[in-house]
Amino acid sequence: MFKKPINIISFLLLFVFAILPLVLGFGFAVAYSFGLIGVLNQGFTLDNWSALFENNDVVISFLYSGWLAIASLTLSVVISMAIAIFFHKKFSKGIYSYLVYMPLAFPSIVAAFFFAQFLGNSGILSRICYQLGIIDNIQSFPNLVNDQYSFGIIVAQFFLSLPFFTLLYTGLYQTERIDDYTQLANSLGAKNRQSIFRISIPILLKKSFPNIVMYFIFKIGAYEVPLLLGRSSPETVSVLAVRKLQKFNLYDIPQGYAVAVIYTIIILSLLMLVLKTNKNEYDI
Amino acid sequence: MSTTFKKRNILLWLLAISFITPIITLFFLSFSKNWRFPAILPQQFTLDNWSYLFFSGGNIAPSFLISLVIALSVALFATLLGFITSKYIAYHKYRKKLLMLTYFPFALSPVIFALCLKYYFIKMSLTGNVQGIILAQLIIAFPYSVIFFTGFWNQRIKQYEDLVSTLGGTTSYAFRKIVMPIAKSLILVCFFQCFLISWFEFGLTSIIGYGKVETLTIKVYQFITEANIFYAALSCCLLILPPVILLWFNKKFIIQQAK
Amino acid sequence: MFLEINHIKKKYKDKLVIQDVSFGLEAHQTLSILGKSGCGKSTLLKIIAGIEEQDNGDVFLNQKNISNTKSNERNIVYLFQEPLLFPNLNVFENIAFGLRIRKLAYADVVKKVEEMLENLELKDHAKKMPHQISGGQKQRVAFGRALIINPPLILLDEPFSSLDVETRATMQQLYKTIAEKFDITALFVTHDLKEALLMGDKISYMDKGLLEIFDSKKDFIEADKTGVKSEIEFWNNF
Repeated sequence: MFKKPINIISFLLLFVFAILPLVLGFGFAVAYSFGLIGVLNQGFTLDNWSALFENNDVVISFLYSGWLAIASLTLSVVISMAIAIFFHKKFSKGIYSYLVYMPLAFPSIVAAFFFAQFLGNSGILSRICYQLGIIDNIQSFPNLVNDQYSFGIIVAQFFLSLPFFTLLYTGLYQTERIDDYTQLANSLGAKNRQSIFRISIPILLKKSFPNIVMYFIFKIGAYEVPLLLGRSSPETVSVLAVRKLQKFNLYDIPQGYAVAVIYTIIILSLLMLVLKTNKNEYDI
Repeated sequence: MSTTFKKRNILLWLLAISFITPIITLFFLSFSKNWRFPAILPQQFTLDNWSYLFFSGGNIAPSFLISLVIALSVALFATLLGFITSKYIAYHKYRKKLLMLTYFPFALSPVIFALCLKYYFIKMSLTGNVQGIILAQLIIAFPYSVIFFTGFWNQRIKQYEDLVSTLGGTTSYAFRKIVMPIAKSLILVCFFQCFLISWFEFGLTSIIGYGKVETLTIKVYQFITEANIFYAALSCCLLILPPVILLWFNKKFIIQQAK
Repeated sequence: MFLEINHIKKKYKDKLVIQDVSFGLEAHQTLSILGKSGCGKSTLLKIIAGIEEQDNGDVFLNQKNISNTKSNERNIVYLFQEPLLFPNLNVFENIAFGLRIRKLAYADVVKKVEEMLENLELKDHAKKMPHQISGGQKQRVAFGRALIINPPLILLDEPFSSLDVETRATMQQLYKTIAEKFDITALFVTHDLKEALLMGDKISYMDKGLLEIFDSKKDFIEADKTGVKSEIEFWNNF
């Protein structure tokens, strides 16, 4: 197995930086959630888990995180696909090909801050509406951040993921030779609409499916954007876990680790599913 | 025909504006004072925010430096170690299984991962200091780098190595004279990406750093919670600056590669 | 015998790629190995070059057992199907590569490489990068890179299969000339009947991990499995 010292080093690196943290972290969370370790531990108990499921908060939190991820992803996929189909030439070179990269320069926390300033009650959009006479005072502007529909979160996540998908689809548009297929379809008598819906979109969707699922996995764990633009209830998984583990109620800590355990199991199962079904490795 | 053309152009303009507005807004806000509703532009433009934060005890320069040191270290280690390890995985019998193991830590939410690892960091006295944050961020950036490079070690690179060997060169000679030069641009891209992973990181840094290590993202969060939007905007500008420069370079030579 | 192969065996997982191969080759001769894809001919060459390890058997070169010698110390050059020019080096440096490894003095390197460029009719292309020259030229550079270190044995793994018909014929001719001029000892693997006949001083046929050398070209032509007879029949009935 180890013919050369470099292989031993490589294996050790992989073990120390990737495998060990995962095993240690997951092991710690499991042990804590079952009362085996921790400040208040009294030996093995299922109390923390049953307490966690006494109300629906956790289930809602997972569903809410999933919904946010799906909503922002759907927006990004639809818009970026439209860009690829209609504007692929514009975005492959020139000024737009630079502009589309802009959000890539934004850390999540900066994007969240900007949208708070842009969409908030006293934000830029509200001021423009006031100046245009659409609203007559600050209260009549609808809540777009920390709102019950999570509008702000979805918009911010959409903004952050749009360049990623635009790059993906404009790239796929060329490598999958969508233009050739469309011309072929048209020569067989398909109308533009038909070739878009029957050829271009299905090909792009199929090819990008692993990427979409990967992005979904990342977005479920999103932290900064929901932290700044979300409400205190419902909370996303990351925000919930941090609240339970970082606040000073010691009884909450085992429950926080239980949340981490559920999250890890869900994510890793999803990941295994994508990597197994996808023969080619996901390209990052 | 001409109406659809116009519609298309309006859409493009909207997109362009939505890409640019955030940067311009943050930039303006960083030079502003007194921005009362309903004025669209601030009442006062000033250099005060910049001069206070940089020169009069605002402590933004140290944060910038700390972030830079952390990001450069993480990028350097992750790229270097990832390059070595990826070769081991790529040519391994159990390539697929090892690769999946590498994906695991990378796919988890950094903040939740950090919460699960915090105990060990406390035990090793690695909380609240720069070393601890570098190590913690490496746990995310290293797998990224490994995954990034596994695609590089394909059949062709293996053939180059074999060829050098039959021409009489050692493995290390092949590595220095052929493999490294071929991988050079990829290594640079990976370095940038790992730099950005670290530069953008907030959740994990706040938990392992205990808020004691004030990186730029931590500063932004502090200013936001203090409701000081002008200082927050200024820190945001500092955060955006290096990636904008980096992306420009990065994209430029990606295009050149493609040519 | 200059090269002696004794009872080489190789298994990949459960598949026996090379069953039991033994043969010998005199110095300054070229042995053609004809075989369909997947018959184990590439693996055999890689084992002789030391890139792959055999499960069983020995390789002797000039009476010396080199079975456990590392590939970079064997002095046997393996030429891949593709020219595999190093993309970061120009034509001159690609050819000079082996000399640089051996740390020759600069003046000697220049002299030898220029001579080689002359022989291969590549003089005008010395400063060009690999992507700027044609497929046939690339293959010539790959030849030069191998020949310049004067290897006692060269292994060619379908070197012309990616070239068009015309270039291929030119290259075959060039190989014959050079082989004579440099007294090359070589194994030449191909799946092309004509090429096997043309290139080899001796001809062998490989199938299902077994190799058979024919005593003469006449035997090769008369054997059923090589497919020469059916080829002749086809043209006769045409």
